[in-house]
Amino acid sequence: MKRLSLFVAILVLSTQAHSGPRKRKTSESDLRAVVQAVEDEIYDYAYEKKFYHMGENVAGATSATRTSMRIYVDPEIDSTDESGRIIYKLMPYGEVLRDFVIRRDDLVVLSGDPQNGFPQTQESSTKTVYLDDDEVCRMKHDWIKSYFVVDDSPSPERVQDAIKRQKLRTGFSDSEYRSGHKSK
Amino acid sequence: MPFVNGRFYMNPAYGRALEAARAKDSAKRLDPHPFARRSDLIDRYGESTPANTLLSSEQDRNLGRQDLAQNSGRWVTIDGHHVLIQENHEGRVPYDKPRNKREAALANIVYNETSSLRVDPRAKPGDGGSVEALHDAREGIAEVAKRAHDSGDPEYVAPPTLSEKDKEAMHAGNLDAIHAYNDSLAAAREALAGADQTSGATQFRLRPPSIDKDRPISRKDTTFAYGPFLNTLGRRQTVVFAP
Repeated sequence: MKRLSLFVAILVLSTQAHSGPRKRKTSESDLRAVVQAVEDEIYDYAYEKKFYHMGENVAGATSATRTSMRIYVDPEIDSTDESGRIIYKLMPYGEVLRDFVIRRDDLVVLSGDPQNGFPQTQESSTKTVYLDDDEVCRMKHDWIKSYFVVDDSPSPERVQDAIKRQKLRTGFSDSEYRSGHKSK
Repeated sequence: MPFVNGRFYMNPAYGRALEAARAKDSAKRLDPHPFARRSDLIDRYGESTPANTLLSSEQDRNLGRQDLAQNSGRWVTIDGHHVLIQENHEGRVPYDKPRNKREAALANIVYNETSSLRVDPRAKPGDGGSVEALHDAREGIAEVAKRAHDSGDPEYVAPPTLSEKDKEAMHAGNLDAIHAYNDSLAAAREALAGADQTSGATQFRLRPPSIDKDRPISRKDTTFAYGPFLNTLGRRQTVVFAP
């Protein structure tokens, strides 16, 4: 009986110890989906020209400018809500920290509306300039370092793909909104 | 003839008017969602409101959640008219457009800060994530935003204009957006009228679970918090205030 009680107590304690946020490692497919979300948003809002003279040009000698930009991804995904965090430079706003959620259809949705300018009040989507320097340095040091690429002149097909996915993500496309208002 | 639609009326003109009103009323009863008709929506929300108000946002649907807006009301019949009773806004009159530029700017700031927040559907009245708590959080944000603007520091808070995305949501009659806007406008009006439920707080943050809700803001200890609420991504967010 004593052994049974001890077993139950250990079981209860071990369950309580794991009642915090459940984490899993960020996978390669998570990284690809995050990069796709970041690039789609840039093309949908037509921010690609704002990346002029940023990052490294990875285009061939004959093609238009393609800028490679670094992105830092939290190596752990909170599996309770499939959420994670990233740090990257989103021009014209500057470096931002954003939460994201991986949906069941594997599309990543980024937190925050770029047109709100990432104020310091929104800790899920804010400029890193508002954060503690040491903490930002620690995150950049510890997180996965990856890249996204911004095409200075994306093809119409690429922009259309971005629009389609943005509408799936948020129900809104800035590019469509702008073209709708131009035609009126 | 004093008979109109088979009924006898001493005054034929009165009879015709009454029968016409009855016919209109019975047509309304046959309509499964009379409130969703454009004319009713325009009465309530203004000329720019299209008829798809009852649709939830694409994002909410894709996240697999029920539309909170649809669940937040119930249809009742009063004097033969179908009326949507909005339980989230019980006792509050739906607000029309802002009365002046200052009110509009403050309402937009509060909306930009909080439009992603949703009431926790499991919260009871008085709980952290309840309708009342969300309104109180908005009022607190309105007070802080008013102080920031009055002291010449508008950059401390979200911009005073709505983004294209939000304009589109309002224009499309998204109920979540309209509820958030109406509540933001109500909060802005209370702040402009001199409310001070935050005891002079000058800072607030919307905090995800990854940040300790007691963490100081600009080295000042937080004094109180509202929430957690759910945001449109399904993540919990707490609104914390500091002096």
